[in-house]
Amino acid sequence: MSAANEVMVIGGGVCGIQAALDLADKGFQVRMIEREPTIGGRMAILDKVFPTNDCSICILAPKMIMCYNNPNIDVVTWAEVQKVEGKAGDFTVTVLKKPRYVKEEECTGCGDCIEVCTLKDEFPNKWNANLGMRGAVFMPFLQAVPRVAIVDDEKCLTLTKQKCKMPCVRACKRKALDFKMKPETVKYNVGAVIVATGLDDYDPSEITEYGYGRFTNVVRAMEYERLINASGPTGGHVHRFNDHERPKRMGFIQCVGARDLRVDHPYCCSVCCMYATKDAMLAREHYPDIESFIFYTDLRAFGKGMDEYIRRGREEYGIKYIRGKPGEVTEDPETKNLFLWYEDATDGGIKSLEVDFLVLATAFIPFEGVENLAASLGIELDEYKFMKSRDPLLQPLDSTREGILVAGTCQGPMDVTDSVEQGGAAANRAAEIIAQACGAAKTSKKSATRSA
Amino acid sequence: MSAVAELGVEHDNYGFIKTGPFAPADTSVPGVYALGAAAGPRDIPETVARATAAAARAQALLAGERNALTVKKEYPEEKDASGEPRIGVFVCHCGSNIAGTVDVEKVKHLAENLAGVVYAETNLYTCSAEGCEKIREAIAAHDLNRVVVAACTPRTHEPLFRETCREAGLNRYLFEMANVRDQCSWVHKDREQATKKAADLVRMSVAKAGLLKPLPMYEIPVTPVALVIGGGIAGLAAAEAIAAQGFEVHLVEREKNLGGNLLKLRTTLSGENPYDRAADAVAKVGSNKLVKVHTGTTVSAVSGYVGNFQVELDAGSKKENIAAGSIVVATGGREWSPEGFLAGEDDRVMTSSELERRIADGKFEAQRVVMVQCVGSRCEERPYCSRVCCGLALKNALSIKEQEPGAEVIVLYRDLMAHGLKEDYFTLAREAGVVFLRYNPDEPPTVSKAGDALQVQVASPEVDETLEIAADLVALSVAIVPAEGSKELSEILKVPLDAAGFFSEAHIKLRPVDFASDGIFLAGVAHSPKEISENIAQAQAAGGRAASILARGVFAAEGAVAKVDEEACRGCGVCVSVCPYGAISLAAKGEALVASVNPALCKSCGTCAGACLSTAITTEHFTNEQIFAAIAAKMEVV
Repeated sequence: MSAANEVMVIGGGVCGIQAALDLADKGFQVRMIEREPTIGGRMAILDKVFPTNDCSICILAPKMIMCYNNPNIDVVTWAEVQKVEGKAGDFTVTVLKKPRYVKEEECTGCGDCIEVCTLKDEFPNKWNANLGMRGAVFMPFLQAVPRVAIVDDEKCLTLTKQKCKMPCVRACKRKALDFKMKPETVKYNVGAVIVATGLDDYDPSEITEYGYGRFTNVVRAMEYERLINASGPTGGHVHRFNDHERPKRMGFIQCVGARDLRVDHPYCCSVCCMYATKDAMLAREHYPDIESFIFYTDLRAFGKGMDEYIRRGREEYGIKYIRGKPGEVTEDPETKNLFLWYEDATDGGIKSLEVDFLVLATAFIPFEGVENLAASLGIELDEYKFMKSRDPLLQPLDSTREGILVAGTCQGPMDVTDSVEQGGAAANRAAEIIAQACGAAKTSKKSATRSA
Repeated sequence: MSAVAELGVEHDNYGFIKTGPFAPADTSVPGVYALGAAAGPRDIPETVARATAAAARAQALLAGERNALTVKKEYPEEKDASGEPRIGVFVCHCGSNIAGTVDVEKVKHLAENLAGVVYAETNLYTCSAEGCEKIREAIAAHDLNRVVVAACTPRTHEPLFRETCREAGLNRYLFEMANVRDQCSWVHKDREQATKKAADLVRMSVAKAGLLKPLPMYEIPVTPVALVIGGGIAGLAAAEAIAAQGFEVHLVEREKNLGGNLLKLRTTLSGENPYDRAADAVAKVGSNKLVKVHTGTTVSAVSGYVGNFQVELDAGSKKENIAAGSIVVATGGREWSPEGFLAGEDDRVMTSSELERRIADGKFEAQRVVMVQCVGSRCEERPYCSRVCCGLALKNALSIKEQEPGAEVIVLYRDLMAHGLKEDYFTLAREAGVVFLRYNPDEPPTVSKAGDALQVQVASPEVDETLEIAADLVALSVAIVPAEGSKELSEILKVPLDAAGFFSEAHIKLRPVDFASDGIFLAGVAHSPKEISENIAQAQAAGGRAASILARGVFAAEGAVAKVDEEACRGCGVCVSVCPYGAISLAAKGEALVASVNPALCKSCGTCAGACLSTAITTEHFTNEQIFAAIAAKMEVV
C-alpha cells in the first residue's frame, strides 16, 4: 500500500485542482506539481467567465486555497517533472524543485521585499500579459497561492552580478530570503499520474496582415482580459495606447492563427466565439455607448447555455456579428485608428470598417516544451502536439501509457466546464487504476513463485 | 498447478480453481481472485467480464484501506464564546468590485465604533490566502469570538470563511457575512448612497453576530450503495466507475435493454464501431457482481437525503424498495421528431441518424443528398445548439463520398460546429467535394415535391437568388431533446430543470456534475447534448463523486436547522404539512404528539417557524432574536 495510495497531479490549473480535491475527498494523498510559482493556471488571470459572467478569480480563489490547505494535498510549486519510471501502481517520479530564494515556510506574503527591490517595476509581468510591471522579487498576482514571493534569478542583481545592497534581505522581518538556495531533485513514489498541464496562447506577430506588434491599438484577447480586469495593470479601464482615450468602436477578429493551415493550426479553439462575446459584453458594461463588431467564420456556441449567450450579446448588448475574416488591417498614422478590410458575404463587395481598438482572438497552442514533458512521461502526442488519449471514445482520459492520465486543455482546447469535468473524471480513473494495481499486487505477492 | 498449490487455494477435481456461484471471482483464500480459464473453460467475452468482477472485488478490499494513509484535518479546540461579544469586522475591496463603488475605509471606520466590535480592517481580497491568514491572526491577537466579513456572497464564500474561523478555534456558526458586493456595489452607482447601504448592512450583520450561538454539526451514517438512473453509455460508465471503487450499484433502465442511444449508432467520425463498444460496456456491467441491473424499471418515488435515500423502483408488475447513499441521474436524451420538410410524408426525407443506419447497412442509394442542419435547434422553442449534429452530418457526408464518390452531397447549415479537432473532418469533407451552403435562420430551407421529385428551396446569403435543388434524399439533422419523463423525475428527486428541460447543475462552470442537492449527481445528455467521449468523461466524474460520498462512511449535516421546543409544541402538525423537504414528523412523547425535525433533511428555510401557531419552532442561526436585532440596527438613526 506504499505508493499506491498517492497520486501525482501535474499542473495546478482548475482541472488539476478539481482532480486533486476529488482524490483527497476519496481518501487518497495527492502530490501536486506546478511549474509556475503559483497555482491557478489560466483561469486565475481571466476577468470573467462565460456564460454567467462570474468573476473568474472570485470563484477560483476559494478552490485554490482549499486545495493548498487540504492536509492530503501537498502543493509543490516552481517545480518540474523530469522523469517517470515504473508502472501503473508503482511509479517513481523525479521532480526538479527550482530555487525560489524565498523560504516558503517563513514568507507571509507581506510584500515588504517587493516594495524595496532595487529593480522594482522594471520587468513586464507575464501574469499581467506583460502589460503590468514587476521587480526582481515579486508576487505573480494578488491572489497567488501559495502567497510567497519569488526571486527571478535571471534578473536579480545579487544572483546575476553580486551587485546589490540587498534591501530585500533587510526589509524582510521573517528572514525568509535565502540566496544560497539550490535546485533540488526529489523522487516521489506514486500509484498514478494525472497530467493537467494546460496550454498556451499563440503570438500572432507572424500573421502580419493584422499588424499585431506593429500597430499601436491591436491587442491579443489574453491581453484584453487583463486590461478589462479590475486587478489588471489599468485597474479595469481599457484605453488606447497612443492617446489614453477610452475606445468607442471596438473590432474583434476571430480565428487568428486557428483554423489556419498556414501556421499549422487547422483546428478550432472551441472557446473564442464565446469569450469574444463576453469581451464585447464587458466593454459595454464599462461603457454603455461602446460599439463592438465581431468578425467570425462560424459562430461556434455549441455548449450548454451558449447559443443563448450569443443571442443575448446580439439582442441585449447590441454586438454586431459580421461573417467574414478581414483580409487586411491598416492603420491611420495620425489617429492610430484601424481599418478592417473584409468581403461582405451578403453582397460580395469589399468594404472597410473603422475601429479605434482591435482585439485578436488568437489560437490556443500546446505550451512550449510539451515534447520534453511528453518524453519524460513516456506518453505520445497527437499531430498538433496535444496529449493523445489511448482510447478517445471510451477512455478519453487514459494517455498512451498505462497509469498516466491526461486531462483538460493539454488534450486540446476546451472551456472551464469541460476542464473541471475532465479533472473529476481523471481523479476517478486514477482511483480505479490504483485499485486495480493494488489488487494485482496483493495477488502477485502471494504468487511470487508462480511459474507462468 | 504448482502455483495453485503455492497460493493455497482450493481447486476442483479437474484442477480448476474453486469459486462460488454467487462470488465467481472469489477463491477460498481471501484476497486471491481467480480470473478467466483458471476457474473453468470459458470464452473470451466471459473471461473479460469475469476479470472485471475480480477487479471490482479487489477494489472493494482496497476501499477499506484507502484512507489508511490520509491525514485527518486537526482543528484546535473550540474556544468558549459565551462571554461578551468580541467582534472582528473585515471589509473587502474585492479589487475594485466593491471599492470601486463603496468607500470601504469609511465602512471600516463606522464598523469600528459599533457596540461589540473590538477590531476592524479592510482587505484587498479577504478570500485570498493572505486575507484568511489575517482573520486567523486577528482572532488570536484580539481574542475575537465573532467574525463578520463584509464582502461578496455567502453562496460562494461562506464555507471558506467558516472553515477559516474553525481553523482558528471558533465554532463555524460564529461567523456572519454582509453581502456588500452582489447586493450593494454591483447594483448601485451612487458612491455615497452605496457606502451608506454597505454601512447599514455591516451594522445589521454586527447586531446579529453579537447574538450568534455555537452549534454542533450532525454526523449521519451513509448507506454504501449507489443508484444510477439510466442505462445508456453515461449510466454504464457511471455504474462502472462506482463499482470500481468497490461499491454496490443499482442501475435502473426504463427500456428492456441497456445501451441506450449508442446501440443505434453504426460508426463514429474517427471510424470506430460504437455499437460493439456499447455492447462490450453492457456485457461488462451486466456481469459485474457489484452492479444490480434493473431493466424495464423506472424510479417512482424517492425520499430521504444524502447518505440515506429510500427509492421505490417500479418494474410494472412489481415494486421494489431499495436504499442508496448517492444517486447519479443519466437519463440521456432523444431525437426530436421533425415537423415540416415533408418529414413523415415522404420516405426520401429522414433524420441524419436514419441515414447513418442506411449507409452502414448498405441500403444507401442516391445521387444527390441534401442535408439540413439545425432542424429544431437554435430556434425560439429550443434556443440551444444540439452539439452532435454537425459531426453526424460530416460523418454521413464522408461515408457517402467513400461509398459513392460520384454522389453529390450538399450540406445546408448555419454555423458549422466542427469545434476542436473535429475541424479536420470539415476540411476532409470539403476536400472530398462536399458542398457546404449557409442559410439564413430567418429563411430556413423548405422541401417540396415537383411531380414525384423532391425539391429543396434555399436562400443563401452567399448566392443572389433562391436555389432550387432537386434531391434524391433529404437528411434532417434534428435537435436533441431531454428524455421523456425527465420532468417527472425532476419532481421525484426535487432537482431543477433548465428552460430547455435538461437537468440543471449546481454551477455551470465549477460544479458541472453536481446538483445543488447533496448526494445527487448528473451526467451525460441529461445535462445537455454531448459527444460519446464527453458523456463518458462526465459520467466518470459524476460516478467518482457519488462514490466519494459512499467512501466517507458518515456525512456531516448542517447544524443550523429548525429546533422544536417540546414544551410549547401542541402537536397540531401544521409544520409537517408546510415543510417542503419532508423533514418534520410527529413523534409520541408520553401521551402527547410533538414535532420532531430530521436535521439531515432540514434546509433551514424557516417555513415551519413561521407557520407554527405556538411559536414552538426556532430556526437556529436565524432566531427571532437575531433577526429582530438586525432589523433594529437598520432602523437606528445614525
